[in-house]
Amino acid sequence: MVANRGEIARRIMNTCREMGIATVAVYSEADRKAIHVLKADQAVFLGGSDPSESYLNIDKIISAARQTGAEAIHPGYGFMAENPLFAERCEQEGLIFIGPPSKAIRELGDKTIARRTVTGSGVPVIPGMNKPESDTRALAGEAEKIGYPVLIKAAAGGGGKGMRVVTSPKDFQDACASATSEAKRAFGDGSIYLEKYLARPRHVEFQIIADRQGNVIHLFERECSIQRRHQKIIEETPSTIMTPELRERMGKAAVTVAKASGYVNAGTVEFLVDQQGNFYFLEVNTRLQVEHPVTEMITGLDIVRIQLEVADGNPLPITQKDVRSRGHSIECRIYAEDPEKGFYPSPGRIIYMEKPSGPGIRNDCGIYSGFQVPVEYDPILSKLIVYAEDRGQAIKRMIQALENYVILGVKTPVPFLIDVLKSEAFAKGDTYTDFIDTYFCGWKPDRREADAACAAFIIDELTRTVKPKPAAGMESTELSPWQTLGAWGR
Amino acid sequence: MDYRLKIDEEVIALQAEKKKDGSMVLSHAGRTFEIEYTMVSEYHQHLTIDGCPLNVFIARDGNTKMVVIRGTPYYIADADAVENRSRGKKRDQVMPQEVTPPMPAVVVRILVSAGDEVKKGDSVIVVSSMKMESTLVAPADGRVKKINVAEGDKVMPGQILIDIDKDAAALPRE
Repeated sequence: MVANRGEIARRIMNTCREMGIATVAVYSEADRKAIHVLKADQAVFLGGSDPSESYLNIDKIISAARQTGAEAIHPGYGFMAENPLFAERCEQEGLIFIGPPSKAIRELGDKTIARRTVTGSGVPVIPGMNKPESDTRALAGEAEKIGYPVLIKAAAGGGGKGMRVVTSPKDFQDACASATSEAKRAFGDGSIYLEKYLARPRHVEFQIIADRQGNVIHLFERECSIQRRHQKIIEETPSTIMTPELRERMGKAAVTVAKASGYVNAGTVEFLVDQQGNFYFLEVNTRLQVEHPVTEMITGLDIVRIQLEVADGNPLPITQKDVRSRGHSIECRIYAEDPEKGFYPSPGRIIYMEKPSGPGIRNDCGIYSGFQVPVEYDPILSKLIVYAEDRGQAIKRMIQALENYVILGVKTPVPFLIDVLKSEAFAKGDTYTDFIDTYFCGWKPDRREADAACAAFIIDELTRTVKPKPAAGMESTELSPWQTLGAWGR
Repeated sequence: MDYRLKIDEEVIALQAEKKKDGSMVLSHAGRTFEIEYTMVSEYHQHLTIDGCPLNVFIARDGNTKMVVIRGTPYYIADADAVENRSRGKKRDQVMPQEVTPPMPAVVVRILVSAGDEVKKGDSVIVVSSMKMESTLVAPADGRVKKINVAEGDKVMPGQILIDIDKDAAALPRE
């Protein structure tokens, strides 16, 4: 059973099918026609669209597993993926949780405990607090001690939720309140703590995977520095800063962290790398990552398959020295959001879409023409991944793929991503976490083909013999922001 | 035929002339384009503009069309239709004065009660869209007259979530 939705549920089910494992999907009211429901061998309705009534409801998910006779549950990313209570419940119910043991999730999921564990293992950590704090005055005191700018982080967090950069004491209180609220909503736990905010770091993470026999390997790094709202939008591997020597040291540190925490199954050890090439432990993501495909592309491994093998009690099928990397891979996340308006969400209906195809192009896609993108969940629509012999070729391939990716009905960052990939800064590998603010602040697309667009408008008018009426897929009573412009006044 | 099209907040005038062979001549700002076209599907046109081929994707929504060329979207409307409409409804003048979400969303928290005094810029309600929270603020000084929604409600742009009676003193002098 896959306790998730959209593209990731579909991707996991693909591997299950290859392995001859039958799949069960779960879904909410808003997801009756979602892709994961349509692609599963069986689907169980959980409840209302609010995550608390469906994808975050432990009792309902467990009962769906019982009802269908599912033996194992893959949580994907988000939702239940890093909830120790869910993993624990699976353990109690005799269901296999495809992920680390609940104890490892609890200890690493609490970012402050993770910091304590790692400090003990000799891997460097970012200066900051080692326990969460709810009293704003105490927090303000800690902020003074660490020194502004500070970063507020959710102890239970990930994915940038509940994260705020605070540069001056006057904004501190408000930032704490909104971070707590966002964290509470995203993770059911509003605990926050502080870290020193590093200027212009790179975000480099290592994929690790461990079996129950105590073997741990890493599958090299992913460079994930290009972020908006602390959420990654472009990831690649190898990282442009990596040398064989640094890779060796960071890989070893990642494996050390995994061993120190009793880790089993797939996980990601995140590091920040500063301007001088020093690296600091950031956190462990105890789940399959959104960006895992780039690692799969360069190693030729199927991480979900290894997850399933390890969860079944088998030893890792490969050792560290068998892990080889070749070529370069880039992933672009396609969200329903408006890159011209601060990446604000843009839910709506996919009126029409066309996916790019060709050598080295992979599209992990959670939508289809006619699909109504719900407002209740993460705005990720799909992930476009390319693979090529070297970075230069991979960039060109990604630009081509994006230009041929047509999604009508919602706004997407596709034109923004094209410009980033075409930029000199990206080509140089000048990818720091402030990349977008530095090079693409206030970005607008260069609408140089306006004449052709107007021609298309006119041709569309001329070739429509019938009076304009709602296009197929537009009968929905829900309005997208650009639908509110209204119909012909008649 | 003459067209006035609104594209990216700009209004441009074009002339289009359909020829007998099915092609079209488009003139804009003193330039003329020779355009052949094939309707591949309802959403897909294959154009040849002065000999250069181009795939264009298009979706309609009332009088606005979303046109996508090489990944870049253009939002185009018939300028006359847009102007007629805004004259009739005066929507642009009303919108910034109301508490309404910028996108479809779910109400997370209501921060005020009926009868509360609010100052321009005070946070009044928090909505969430696709897991991102936004705080909507009072558009002017005044008193909360009525709260039209409850926590957990699904709300749409244009829907007034909270009615605020503006202070007479705070109203701009005519």
